[in-house]
Amino acid sequence: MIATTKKRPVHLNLALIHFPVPAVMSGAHRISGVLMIFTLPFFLRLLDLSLSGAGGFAQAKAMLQSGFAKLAVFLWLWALSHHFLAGLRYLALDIDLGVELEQARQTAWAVLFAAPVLSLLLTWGIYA
Amino acid sequence: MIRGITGLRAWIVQRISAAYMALFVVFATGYLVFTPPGSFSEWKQMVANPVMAMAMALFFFSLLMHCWVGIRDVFIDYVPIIPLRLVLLTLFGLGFIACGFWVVQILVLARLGA
Repeated sequence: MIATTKKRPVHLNLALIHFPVPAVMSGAHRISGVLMIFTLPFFLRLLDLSLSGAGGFAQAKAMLQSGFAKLAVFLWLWALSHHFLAGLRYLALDIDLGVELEQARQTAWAVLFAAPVLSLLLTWGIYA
Repeated sequence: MIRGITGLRAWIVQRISAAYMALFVVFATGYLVFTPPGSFSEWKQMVANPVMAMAMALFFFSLLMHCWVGIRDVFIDYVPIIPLRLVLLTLFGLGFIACGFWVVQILVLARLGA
């Protein structure tokens, strides 16, 4: 039997934890997920509106044209890109791909850099 | 008795839903990039297509299951006050169910109007 007399932390005190790169990427995975949960009603509202009729379609399109909307779309697409790429990385880890520390750090960096680039490309694709 | 989505079950749900959503997002992005709907009727036709509507229904079902497992993990990690955690889980759970009915409504209306 493994001795577990040491008092173990049950809840995470984020202020006391050191964050290596994979942890930063993992934290961003959570933040991006929560961000997309909170914006889900807006997304559904937009989908609903765009399918409600020609007027609604034009209205939904117009709602995405302001500077603020473009920034929001970019941030949202970052969240989606980061969550997608970090998620693929986790799925790879599940089948023992990239589990070595050096590789894990490299792929974490890659996800952190690729997500904003992908988001920029997608945002550009939408508005260009 | 309803057995909740916890432990290994939650782990599996999170991965299967992730795999389906990843495929759908790549497919949908490609579809929208190569055949962007220029008008309302094109957009509506795209969504009202029976295969597309079903693929979207499965996508949103996966999404809501994925959201539930994810937010549950977050609250378990960061909300140590159990009654507060239960209130939050209830609110978000109900919110996700409401979103599910909303999606059904959107898709059914799109199909009926096709």
